[in-house]
Amino acid sequence: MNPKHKFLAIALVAATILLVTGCGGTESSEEPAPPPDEVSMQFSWINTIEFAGFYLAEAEGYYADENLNVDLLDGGFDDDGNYIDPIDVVLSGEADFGDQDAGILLEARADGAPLVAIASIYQRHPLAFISLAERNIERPEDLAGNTVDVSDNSLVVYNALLSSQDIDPDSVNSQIRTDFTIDSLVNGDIDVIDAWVTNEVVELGLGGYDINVILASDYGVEVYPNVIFTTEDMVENHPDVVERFLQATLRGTQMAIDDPENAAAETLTRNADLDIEKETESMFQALPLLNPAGSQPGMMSASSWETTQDIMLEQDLLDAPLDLDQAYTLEFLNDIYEQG
Amino acid sequence: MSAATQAVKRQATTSSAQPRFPTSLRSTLVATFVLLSVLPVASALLLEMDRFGAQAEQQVTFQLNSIIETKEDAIAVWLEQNQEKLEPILADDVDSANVVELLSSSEPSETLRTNISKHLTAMRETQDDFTEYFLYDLDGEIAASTDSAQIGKVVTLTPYFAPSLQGEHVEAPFYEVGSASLAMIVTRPVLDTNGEVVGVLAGRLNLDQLGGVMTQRAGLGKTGETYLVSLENNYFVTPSRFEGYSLTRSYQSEGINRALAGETGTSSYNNYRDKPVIGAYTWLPDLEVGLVAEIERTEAFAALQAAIQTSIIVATAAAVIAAGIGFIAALRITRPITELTDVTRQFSEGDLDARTRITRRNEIGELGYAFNTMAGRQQETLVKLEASVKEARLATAMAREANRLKSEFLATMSHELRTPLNAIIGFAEILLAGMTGPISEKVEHKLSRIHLNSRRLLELINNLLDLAKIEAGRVDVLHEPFSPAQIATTLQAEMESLAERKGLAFRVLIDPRLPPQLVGDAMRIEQAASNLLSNAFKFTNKGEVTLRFDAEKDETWSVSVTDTGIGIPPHALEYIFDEFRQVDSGSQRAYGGSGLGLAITRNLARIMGGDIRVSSKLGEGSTFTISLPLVVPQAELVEAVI
Repeated sequence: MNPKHKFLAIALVAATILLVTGCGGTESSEEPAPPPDEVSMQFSWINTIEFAGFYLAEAEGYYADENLNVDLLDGGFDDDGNYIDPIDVVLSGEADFGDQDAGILLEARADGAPLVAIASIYQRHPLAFISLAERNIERPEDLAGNTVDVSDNSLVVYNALLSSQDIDPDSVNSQIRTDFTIDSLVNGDIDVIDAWVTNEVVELGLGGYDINVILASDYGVEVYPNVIFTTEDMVENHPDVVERFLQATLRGTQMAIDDPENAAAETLTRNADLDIEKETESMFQALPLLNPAGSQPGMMSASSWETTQDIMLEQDLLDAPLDLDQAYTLEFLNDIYEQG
Repeated sequence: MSAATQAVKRQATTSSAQPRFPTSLRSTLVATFVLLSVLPVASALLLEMDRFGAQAEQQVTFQLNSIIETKEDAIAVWLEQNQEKLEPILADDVDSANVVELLSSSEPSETLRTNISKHLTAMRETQDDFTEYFLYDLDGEIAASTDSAQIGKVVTLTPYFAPSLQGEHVEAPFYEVGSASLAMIVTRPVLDTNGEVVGVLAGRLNLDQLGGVMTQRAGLGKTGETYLVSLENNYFVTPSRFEGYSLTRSYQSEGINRALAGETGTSSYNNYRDKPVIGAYTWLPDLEVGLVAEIERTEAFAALQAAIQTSIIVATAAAVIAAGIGFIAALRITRPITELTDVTRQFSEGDLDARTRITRRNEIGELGYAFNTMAGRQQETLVKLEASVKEARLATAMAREANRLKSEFLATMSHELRTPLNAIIGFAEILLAGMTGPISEKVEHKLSRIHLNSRRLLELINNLLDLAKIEAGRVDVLHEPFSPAQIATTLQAEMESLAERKGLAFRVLIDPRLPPQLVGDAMRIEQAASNLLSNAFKFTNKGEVTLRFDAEKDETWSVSVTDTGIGIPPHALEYIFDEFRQVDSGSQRAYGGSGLGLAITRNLARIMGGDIRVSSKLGEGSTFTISLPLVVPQAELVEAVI
């Protein structure tokens, strides 16, 4: 055997060299952008999933895209234990935007505050009156004879619900709620508590409790719980800033709707005390409030504002009807949605 | 060599020979067989794969599309049937009048409300497609319902309220915050006797039934499913057939997004469960939902996968069988070759009786036969050759011995010859010197001839003696320190008179690099140089003779003699150092000499461990160079080192 006669050994080596030529970024010949407008937003409550659209608008750079530098101000209570009312903060000029219950905003306007609502975060009020299913409290009239814990700021809607259903307030053992946990309900100390479907309802659901929910808005009691407002001055003199702020915020809201898990995760970065599982579930519950069928994020309707005013008048919280066209404007929402 | 050791040796050589060739014929053959068996299957597989895959995908796509169409039709039928179900509820005149009264009056009686609710309940219980029938007035307040919890609710904020007042309506699935679930509502206006709308009769569709329609006879195997997705937040209208997916979650996928964007088509993508699927999708405008049918790729291509698997198994089996066949075939070919190799090795190692036992009647057998024939002839030749070599050796030994005897004889003979010759020369000289009385001129002349020829004879005999001594190995070479300069001085003195007589210049040059003291046989060196100088003067008639002592490379030094004499023709250079040869026969007469000088000189140079060479040009002169090993005396060496 001759080692020279080796059998064929074919090795085809194909070496492919890819030359990647990076192209330098083209310098914009446009004039440098003007410095961003500095605006601030005062929330009506501590950081929760309710404001996820704002967080995402900031985190995703939507505000920056609109050449805005937005300061998002946490709400709740100050160091002295006083509630931080966005209406006061905006009126004092410390913030440009705020969010507040539509009824409270109308009261402020009646007192002469030059504030205008430009959109609503939630388009349905998440307020419900809930009880354990075993109690068979399914309708407002079933409240009669039961003990109901109602938070101070839910009283307007509560009274409106009783009134709309012709329920004698004296037939219900109503008391102001001071325990903001679900313990009293679960223990059976209290028959009914007021609750947001995005909050206590979720908590009870995750706890495995079977509950009945009387949703106020199902009975035509419609008050926007968190309208975004600004000053008349801003609307008249800086409409572009208002529109850009709203545009970016609604983009953030749409993103929250498209990816609720991410919205919950982003919210956690603003408030480490929250529970990711609960916030995620809350976000899913908030979807139909943020974007109900046939509507668009942020949208408001004239009928809801009228309903709200009627409720306020009925409860003597307003002395006389206001010019609602001055209290809110759809100008910015329509502009944004017409642009596509 | 015993049989046992031979066997061991053979074994050792065969076993050590094998791993020397990693690409042995055997493995090459096996590899070739395997390659040949796998190649056709593999290439066919590759060629068919694409076509097969495309065909499978086409088939699946076709199936999905037909499912989509079937489902679309089924949903349309389901919806139409259910819309019709609202009609008979108020067909009875009494019922109709009561309902109009309930919806028209501002303060209806509770009895009326209860009775109508009972009627609705009775009607609802006849079927399963609706979970609730309810009536609401123009303000949207629910006046009667099969579900008492709904009475008193206001539907003004629902998406169906406004269109329901305009005519028959089907509301696309939407999320009800109160029930925390999706709802689908079918409505029918309630008219009074004047044909005026006084309220609306609504039915809440049982979405489980819709889910049933979707899963019915889907024909989509284990992983296939069809489902509806709402435009509102991508909610699933019908449940996923897999666990862990809720109706009130929003899900994304290419199929879902395309369907909701109003597109119809098919595509491959990862579905809402992040599984690779082939999906067909379409948009159902009446329901405002997307309809998606999907099947996981793994299942869709299960047949293809199975075909590939079968092919791999077949190819592997073929490869194994081919390897086996190849191995056996290789063995059949290589075994006789190995045997032949072993026999060849034995033969080459001297076992001339080694023969192959291959008797196969094929090429290999022929090769074996040819080998045996060759080995036989070779053996014959070798035997003859060996005999010749023995003869030749014997002849050489005899020749050498004869030569030695000849030299000895010559040496003895020369000695024996010299004694009487010396007597002749001596007496001739005595006579010439006139010691025996005056001699006539005539006698003197004759005596001179005797004297001269006797001397020549003596010289010849001396040379012969020298030569014979050297050839007989009787010469001992001294190894003593000497001075090259001393030799030069002696030679200069010896040759000066000769040079003068012939009118030639004589130069002696000593290389300064040459050590002053060397080890060797000064006498022999002088003799050799003297021989060369005698020749030089003999063959030179004008010009000069030069004697040089040079240090050369490689531990040698040289003694060279250059003349400007007649030179040596090129053809003569090769035999000039042979005994009794002069350049031509005529020159002996003209220049005298025995022709033994150069032979002696070469023999001298060689016994001293050196050699002689010559370069010459006819008519211009010659240079003879003796090269000798350069040995420095021990003391010199030490001195040099210090």
